[in-house]
Amino acid sequence: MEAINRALWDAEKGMAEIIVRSGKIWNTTGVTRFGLLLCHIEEVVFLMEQRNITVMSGEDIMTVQDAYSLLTVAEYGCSWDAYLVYAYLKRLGYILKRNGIPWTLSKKTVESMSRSSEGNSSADNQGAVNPDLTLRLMFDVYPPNGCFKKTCPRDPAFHVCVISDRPPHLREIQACEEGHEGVPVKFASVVCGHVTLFSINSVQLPELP
Amino acid sequence: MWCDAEGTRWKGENAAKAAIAEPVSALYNKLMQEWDQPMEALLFQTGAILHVASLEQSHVLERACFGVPLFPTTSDAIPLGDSEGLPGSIGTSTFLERKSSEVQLFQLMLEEAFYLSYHMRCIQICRQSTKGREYMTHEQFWEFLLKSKRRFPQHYKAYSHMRSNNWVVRAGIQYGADFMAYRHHPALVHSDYAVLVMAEEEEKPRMNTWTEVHAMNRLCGSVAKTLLLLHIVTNQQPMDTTSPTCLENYCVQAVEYQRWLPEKHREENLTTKEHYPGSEVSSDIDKQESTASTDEICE
Repeated sequence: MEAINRALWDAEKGMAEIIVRSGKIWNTTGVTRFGLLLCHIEEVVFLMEQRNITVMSGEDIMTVQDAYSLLTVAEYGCSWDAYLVYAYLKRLGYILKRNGIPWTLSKKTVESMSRSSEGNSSADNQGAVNPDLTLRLMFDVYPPNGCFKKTCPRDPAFHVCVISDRPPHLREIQACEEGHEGVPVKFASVVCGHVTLFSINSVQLPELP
Repeated sequence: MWCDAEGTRWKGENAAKAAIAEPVSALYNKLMQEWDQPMEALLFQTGAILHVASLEQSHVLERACFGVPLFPTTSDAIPLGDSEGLPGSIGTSTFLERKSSEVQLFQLMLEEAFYLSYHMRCIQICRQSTKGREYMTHEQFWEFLLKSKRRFPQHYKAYSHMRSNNWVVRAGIQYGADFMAYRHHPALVHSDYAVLVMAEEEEKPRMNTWTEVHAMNRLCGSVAKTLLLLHIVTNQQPMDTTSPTCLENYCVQAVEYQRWLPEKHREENLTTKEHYPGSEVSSDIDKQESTASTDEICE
């Protein structure tokens, strides 16, 4: 039996366009671009695991195995390890979005953006990359919230940096602490499929009485 | 447990009062006063044996947590570790009181010996040889220390940085760390930190795999301490460590590591800004929770 929600996968864009939608999940999943609702590969895979969406790739219905294989395509921007972090937090009710891209983009917002800055043309597939940092901020995480609105999301509770092969170096930790308007960064270790989140923060040891 | 406004975890309200009555800085000042009889420490390869001449010196050393009491011991010997009792002068019934004659000999670790002699100037260091007892200058002691312990300057910088900020610092070996750091005497307060010293330019760096980070974190978590890495950094390369004055060229950068469990923080206001209105979990989220999480909850 097919799920109500339906999407069309666009291999070139690396995103799925949602063509039939139902339910509250869309308040917290996908980004709107000029009236279209689009999802990244990790969102698609998660919904497929929940049996909550049918995804077409051309004429064929995508299988879960097909979807998993797309996670290994570097150009689509989400690694297998990053997906495990995504799914772990989603299952606990957190709201996630890729870092560095807006929840909504319409003609109006683009016009105002191009008036004020250079705009974000390749934003949809890239997280913010700090040139001093070899690490990339992968997701913005918002706390579980039944009244979340993409049009006024406020600041995320924290950013997640997925770093599987080794813990971050001191300079990387310090670079993550600069900027980001006071939003903390948490580090996700993914080893053999186990996801663990760490808060790693510089501290000023106080002088005690 | 009793937390104060700064978040210090005292072992009860009486403990907090005792600590406020005699802050760590007051104890350190007492140690640095002029003593009628100086204290002498006999140096050996991995530490020193400190002889104290007066009861008052003994009390202050114990309350400031320098060294481990060696002799005399009592039949109600107070075990080494966090439950060390305080001598009667802080004196609430909560704490153990030493019943026999006061301690005259303490075993010091190398960092303690150097701190007491170089920074506090309250002990003299000597060595025993076939020719008898010889006193050492600070430079001679430093030279000995460089040979005795790998990365002694960095370990000492970490130790002295915390002591100079009025923290109590003890050996961390029983907890698998370099040091343990407390906001006051361990009988009064729960330890804040298990400290690891991180030197730059190591051939075999520490904590450079997730396995090690997880291991240290589990260890710390099981004894309710937070892991603190003290990175000892310098602008001067190469560093000339032949004199203790090189310590001024090191800088300490502290980093806390804590495991964060999203299972436990769902209902909290995670942001430092305003609340989200109506932060109830929606029904779609309950559906998603039916699959098991990828990580075991170990608390």
